[in-house]
Amino acid sequence: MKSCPTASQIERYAAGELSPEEVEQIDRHVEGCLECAQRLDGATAFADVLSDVQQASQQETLVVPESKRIKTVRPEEDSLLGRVIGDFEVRRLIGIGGMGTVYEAEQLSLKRRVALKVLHAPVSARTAGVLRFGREAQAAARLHHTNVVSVFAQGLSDGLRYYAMEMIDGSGLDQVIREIRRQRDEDRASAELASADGRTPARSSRRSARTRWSEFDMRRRLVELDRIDARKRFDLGARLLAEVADALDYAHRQGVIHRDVKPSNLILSADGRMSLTDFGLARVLEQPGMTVAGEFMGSPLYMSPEQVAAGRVPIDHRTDIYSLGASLYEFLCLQPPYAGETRDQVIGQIRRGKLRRLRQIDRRIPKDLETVCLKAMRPDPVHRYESAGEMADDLRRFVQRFAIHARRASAVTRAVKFVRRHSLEVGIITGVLVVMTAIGTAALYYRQLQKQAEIDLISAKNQARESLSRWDRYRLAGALDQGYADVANCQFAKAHASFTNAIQLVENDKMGHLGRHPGGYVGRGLTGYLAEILGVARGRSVFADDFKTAFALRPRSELISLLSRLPDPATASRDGAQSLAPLLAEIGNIGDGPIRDMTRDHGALVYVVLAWVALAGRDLDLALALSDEALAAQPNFVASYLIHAMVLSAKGQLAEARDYATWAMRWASHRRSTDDEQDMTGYVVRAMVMLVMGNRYEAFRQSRLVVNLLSKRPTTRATTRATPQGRRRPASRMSHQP
Amino acid sequence: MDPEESSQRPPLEVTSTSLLDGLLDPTNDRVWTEFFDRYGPIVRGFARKLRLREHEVDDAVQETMVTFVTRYREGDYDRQKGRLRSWLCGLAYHKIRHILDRRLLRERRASGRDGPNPPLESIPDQDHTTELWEAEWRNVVIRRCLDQIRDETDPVRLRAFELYALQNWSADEVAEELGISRNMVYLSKSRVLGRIAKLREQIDRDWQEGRIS
Repeated sequence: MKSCPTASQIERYAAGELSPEEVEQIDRHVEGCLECAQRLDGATAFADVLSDVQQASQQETLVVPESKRIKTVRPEEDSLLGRVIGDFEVRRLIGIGGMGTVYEAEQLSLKRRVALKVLHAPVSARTAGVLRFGREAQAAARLHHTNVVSVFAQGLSDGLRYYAMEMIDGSGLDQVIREIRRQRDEDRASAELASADGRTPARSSRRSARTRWSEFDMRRRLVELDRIDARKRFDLGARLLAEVADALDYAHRQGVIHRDVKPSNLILSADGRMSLTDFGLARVLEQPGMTVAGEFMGSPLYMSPEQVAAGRVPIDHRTDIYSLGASLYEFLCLQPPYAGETRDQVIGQIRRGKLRRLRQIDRRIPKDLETVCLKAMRPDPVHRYESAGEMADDLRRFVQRFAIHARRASAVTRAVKFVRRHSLEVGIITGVLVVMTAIGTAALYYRQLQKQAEIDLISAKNQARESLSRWDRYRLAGALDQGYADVANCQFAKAHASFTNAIQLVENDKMGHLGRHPGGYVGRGLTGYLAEILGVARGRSVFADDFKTAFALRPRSELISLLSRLPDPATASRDGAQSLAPLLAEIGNIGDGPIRDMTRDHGALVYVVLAWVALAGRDLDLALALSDEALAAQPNFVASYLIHAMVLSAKGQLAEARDYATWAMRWASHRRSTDDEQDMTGYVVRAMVMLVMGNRYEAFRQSRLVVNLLSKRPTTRATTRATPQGRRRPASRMSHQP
Repeated sequence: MDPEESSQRPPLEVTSTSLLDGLLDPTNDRVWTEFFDRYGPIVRGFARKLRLREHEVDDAVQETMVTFVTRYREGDYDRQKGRLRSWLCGLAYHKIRHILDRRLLRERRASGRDGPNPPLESIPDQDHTTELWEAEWRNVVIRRCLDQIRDETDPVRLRAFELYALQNWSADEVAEELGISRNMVYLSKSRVLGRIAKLREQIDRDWQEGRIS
């Protein structure tokens, strides 16, 4: 097509109404005509489907999986075969990675086989890509270690950037893991088939596998070992990964952090050497002791929590220790530490750090090896191994049956390990001791019977004490549960009474069964704070005192310390975002930890209160995240819906805000009864809902009703300055509206 | 084996065009898996939007699916009377509501405020939730389209579409990042969207009628 297509043709093209020939003609034309390409881009027929795709793709990513990228060979990559680049003649394509293509090549001057990595053409055009490629070559070139793939040369020839490295005949650890997994599946299937046929599964393969070992390369050997004796596979794996840990330790001491340690970057050669490769993401620390901010690159499955924090947390060499631990984890149980359908899900799991214990997946995994792996993968770098060398030591100690350092072994554990190392000597000595002990034991037995009667008596007394203690704890839990149920119903007075009851239980606990539990103070404080925010206050002093008392009881609790520093709800919005900034940063930090571990009701209430503070401080993303957590934790909570609606409204997502406001209203009207306090909550909710919905007149009308109710209240109930606070509250909320 | 005898046996694989026909055969695992993969995520998303807790969501999906198949096998679903989409929506709604009511009742009892009945406003009535269901249906269908697109589209073109149309990069930035022309960026967007639109139409039709194409 020489002339440009008409507007109607473009729209029909977008609507899929043209024949394939016409489509092809327009495609060819558009490839050479920028103006038509832009017209096509603006075609209205795409708007509907694009909006649906945008909405659906928020939940996942379209990023082309690595496996697919590797299968695709671009024309320029094919055309390099047989070419001479610098001193190297390209022989065979090995694989395509994120930055470049790897070929097998021959170094002409030295007549040796090398692996040649050539930077992708589009990446070559970008300065950042070239820099990264150069950095990879330099980082690897400064390392000379048996277990690091050596870099021989780098250069630029005919516009192609490349570097040559040691050629290793072998495969990635990821392939080994895949093969073991497949082998297990096949074995399981054939065992099932055999049992269905009434046969016993064939065992002959075991013996023949043993005899043919010499023919196997290391990869086959690992796969076969898994069938024959899993323990030996673990030993061999630990030995191989200890070598990699050594290599990492060496790299770290040279000031290089790898940042992308994963099974596919650990190459196992046929002769049983495991080497570290692909320094594409490596960072070189020019000054000793300097740390770098993490960039969000690499495979998320093996990333450390500080790496997925993407720049917010500094990373150091311990990120590699984590990733090596994650690779070990997958090698041991044949599944990655965290699984998720999308990148975001995996990252979320890494942040939460709830790792499934290895021995829950496979009981055969030795305890010590599990301990080494989990220590390397501790979420806080401080708790991991100090250096990769320490990890290597522990892996070797495991292989040699010495007690590992990761967990301080008990005397019993050490003894067991000693026995394993010196089984013959210990066997003889033990035999003699057993005979002697048997004689002594018989004499002691009679005396033991007498003592038993005394012990039974003491144990009965202990049991009685224990059941009393359990009863006290049960009553406390009941009072706290009742308090939270009352808050969920917006019955603040009742909630106040329930929490006070819980407090009295703790204060009257003369036996010390309840251990000065701060739950009552926390619950009562939160109730007071929320009531203040909603304008049905029972007085600020009460909640402030409660938080202070809770803090005195548990001064080391992050959460209680935070609560005791919450701003006065009346002044929070007036003080503005800046004054709340430090507090918000802290809320963001602890949001994941202590609150998630609480009961649902308690957690929801804390989330609601913190979300209000975040809203007042104008940190809308944090507020949204917190209110979302509140809803997830307790979907019966009027206040959860209300705060969510307010935050969405402040973010300008009015349609969604209305949905949640309607829910809040529904719950509030469901909670209505003759109790004036509940009625007032209903009015307050409605006033806020109307604000969210943009109906300011109705909001004003509802808030007048609140004021009327407050003014009718007997003064004994409206303690301290509840009335003036109640008058001001709806007006202060206006400031949150977009 | 006698050819006549073998032809009388129920087929183990899906050979008919209808997923629903396949469901009548309890031994046909492939059909059950496809059925679960297809409609399960819709019920799951719907239940989450109605604020079920995560363990309750699993219950809702499982109970809805099992009820659907059981009742379908008992002949309760008449294809002529209504669409599969709305029938499934109704089943899911009632399961979710049942689960939520059960929870509310339990909580009321635990807190000692035994009322006569669980509240009727536990979730909005069905008319109000149809829109949520429809939105979830659209979402899941689009996600299925994206899965298929991933397998059949050139990765560079797909990446160009993703960066430009979904991540709001400018055409210039995408062109530079991927080493292609700007025209190709625009063309990638229109070709991928065009393909998704066609696929969506087809998948939507198949799913509504319980067919396998």
